[in-house]
Amino acid sequence: MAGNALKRLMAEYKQLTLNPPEGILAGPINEENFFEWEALITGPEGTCFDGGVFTAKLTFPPDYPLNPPKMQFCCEMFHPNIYADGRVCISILHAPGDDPMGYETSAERWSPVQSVEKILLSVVSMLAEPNDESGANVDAAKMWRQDREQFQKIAQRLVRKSLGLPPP
Amino acid sequence: MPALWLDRLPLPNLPAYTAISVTLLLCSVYFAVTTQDRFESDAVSRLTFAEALQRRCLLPPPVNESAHDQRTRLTDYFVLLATYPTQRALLHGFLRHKLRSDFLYWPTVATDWGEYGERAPESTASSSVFFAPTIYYRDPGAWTAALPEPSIQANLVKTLAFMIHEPLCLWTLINMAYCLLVLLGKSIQQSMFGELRVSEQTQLKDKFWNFVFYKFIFVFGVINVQHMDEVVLWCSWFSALGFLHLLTQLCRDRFEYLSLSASTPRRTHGRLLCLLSAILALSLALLVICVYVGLVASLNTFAFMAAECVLLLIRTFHTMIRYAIHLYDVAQTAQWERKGSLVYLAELMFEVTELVIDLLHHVHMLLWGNIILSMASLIICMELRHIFYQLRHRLARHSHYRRVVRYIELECVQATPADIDGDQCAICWDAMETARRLDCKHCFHATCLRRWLEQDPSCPTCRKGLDLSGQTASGQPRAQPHHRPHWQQHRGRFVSFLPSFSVEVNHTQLLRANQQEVPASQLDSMARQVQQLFPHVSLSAITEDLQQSGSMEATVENILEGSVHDHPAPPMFTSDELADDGGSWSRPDGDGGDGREEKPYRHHDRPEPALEPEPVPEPQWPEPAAPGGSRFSKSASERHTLLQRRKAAMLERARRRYLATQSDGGDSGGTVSTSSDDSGAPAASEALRPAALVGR
Ligand SMILES: [Zn+2]
Ligand SMILES: [Zn+2]
Repeated sequence: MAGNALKRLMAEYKQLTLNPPEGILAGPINEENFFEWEALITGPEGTCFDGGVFTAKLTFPPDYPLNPPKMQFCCEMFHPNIYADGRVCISILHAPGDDPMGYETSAERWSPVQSVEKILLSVVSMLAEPNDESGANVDAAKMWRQDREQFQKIAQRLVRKSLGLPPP
Repeated sequence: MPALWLDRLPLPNLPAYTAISVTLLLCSVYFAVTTQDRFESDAVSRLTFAEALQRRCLLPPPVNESAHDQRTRLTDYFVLLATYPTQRALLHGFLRHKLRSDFLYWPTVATDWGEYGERAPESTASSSVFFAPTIYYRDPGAWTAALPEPSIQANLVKTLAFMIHEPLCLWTLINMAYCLLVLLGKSIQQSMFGELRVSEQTQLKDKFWNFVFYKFIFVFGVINVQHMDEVVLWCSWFSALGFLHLLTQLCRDRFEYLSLSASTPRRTHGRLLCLLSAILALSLALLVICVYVGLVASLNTFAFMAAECVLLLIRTFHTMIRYAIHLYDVAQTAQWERKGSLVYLAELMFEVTELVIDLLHHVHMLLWGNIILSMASLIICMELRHIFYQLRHRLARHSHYRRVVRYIELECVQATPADIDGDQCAICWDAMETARRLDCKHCFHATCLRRWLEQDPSCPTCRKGLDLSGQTASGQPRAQPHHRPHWQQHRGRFVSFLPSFSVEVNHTQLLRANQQEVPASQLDSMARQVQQLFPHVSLSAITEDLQQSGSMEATVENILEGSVHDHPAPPMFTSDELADDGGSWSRPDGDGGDGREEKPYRHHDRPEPALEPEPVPEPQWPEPAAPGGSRFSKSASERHTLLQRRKAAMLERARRRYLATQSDGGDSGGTVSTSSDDSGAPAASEALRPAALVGR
């Protein structure tokens, strides 16, 4: 029921507002609809995405803590685990029942104990260390493996773009 | 395709339609008033009318008396009837008269007629009422002579009676009725829902065409009506029913939308609940009509009508119950343990009852329609299969639910206060007073645990697999994880085998949304979002560019290329201002900087400056310069503003830090100013364009 989900989302929002983790910010896009959030994620220091602030949209199902939200980056991204349309492919966002990749154990998948904060932290670590085995973006995975320098260049361009700065 | 065409069709807007309907009505009334006198004196039509009555056994067949005798006798009888003060009942008589034939026939009339000459008219009120109008056709002279004086009321009734018998006038009357219905619907929508959301519109259209389609199948395929008046009767019945169905659907959609928000005003909920109760009352009234018709007509007709009515009743009631539960959920902080199962049982009952009634209704249609091999029966079969599948699915879910409940009851012990130790339930994040403990010592609310285990048999915290039903657990197919509410599965159920309205309608709306310019409200919010990225560009300039480009991406691209110039263009960042870090963002510096930095926020209040000139005094909130916590406000708008502010601050901080590290590293890119001064912009844009193109 949406009522339970609403309360839980409100609690998470409160938590995230009062004790925000470093470099992460999230909240409803519009108070009219508590089931669509916007999240800002700072690229982790010392990685290709260092310094960028990336915007993503989280869409929660009506039975929220039982099923995971969907996450999609709103800005351009080039990353082995992010689809071209911005959808994020990490195991924590996969519903407990389905296993699209076929190799995850259920322990890695969604459970109601997870939260928005944990999702965003996982995404941060995903930005730092791409998992090139699950190729959501095959080109990016290939480039990450073979041509790290080119990857870094693209990432830097994206960082500048995410900050609203013109490319150098 | 048909929907695409349908959507493009230049449908007349409501005022035009109303005007046309009223004009048509006036024309037909004029026609009726001018023609009926001539009609009355038309002997031929009188004769055919009497013959028609005889053929329908409403008049006794001519026995062995001469035509003249019979006529005088009849006339006498009619004159006798006409002395009745039946002005008011006259209308009823006509309406009843329209109800003749197989659909609703009047046994009383047929039997009473036997001794028509002998029987005193006082005792046969129904037949007198029934035949009173006929005299008006048979012998207008007798009619007018019998009546004391034709009052205005009588004239009205006469005109109306004429109009009902004249097909052309009848259609204008029906058209007028529909026009009124549409107007009523529109006014309810305006007062209750305001502007409809796109999804609601689509859903409504979908439902509407679904309904029209199935009722068409029903009227012409299943009961196979022959007479025009029956068609009219069924149509009006289904119009009323469909109208209520659509309203219920709308209430449901709106409720689901409202339930996504934590800050809906109480009044909105109240209004919606009022509307729902009104629908409930009206559907009860319809049910009474069903019973009445069932008493006078056949049982079949009653069953057909009542099934639809009861379905409407259940749906409305279900929505109301859901609504009440939701309101209770939101208002109440603590959960009591029994509530979850009660709510579940209520849901189950509603859904199963609805499905069973629907199933029976369709079986009835299939069996009663004496056209087993036809398109209609095929469609009903498909529908039947769908309902049956749903019902089976629902019952399977229920047996799974019972397994889970049994498991929790038997295998999970009640947690002791020591187990709970002030912890929150990890599923709902609420405090626990009573809880159930799994083998792995993790505790949860019983309801929360039940809802999770229904979907995945494992401990949410440590993911230890649980054996729900002892022996069979391993081989058991897991229940589908995505249980959507029943009515969501309903939408577009024949989409797979019929030209889908919903999908295509959606498609055209998307098409249109792309072609047309962005609506003003959306434009404003888009402009604000862009401005958060580029605080140095004025909102008006961004709005202007957005109007042309129509998309945020394009405008961002334009700004980056330097082709967006705002006229005042105050230089926002000089490179030394950018160089110093963090702290200077927090506004109350007092120097010239703060006037400019406030700018993005002031624009938030722009749409309603008169209503809330400055909803929150600026110095009240410390700017989150450091990534520490912020305040969590109780008011939704304040929360929202705070979040926007923190977002902008975060972005700005990152931007500065980035530029600082770039210049520290001696990178050439560090000196790039954000091309805000007008003189530099064209040159910069020249230089940047190729890079931007490569980047795409
Ligand atoms: Zn709980
Ligand atoms: Zn556990």
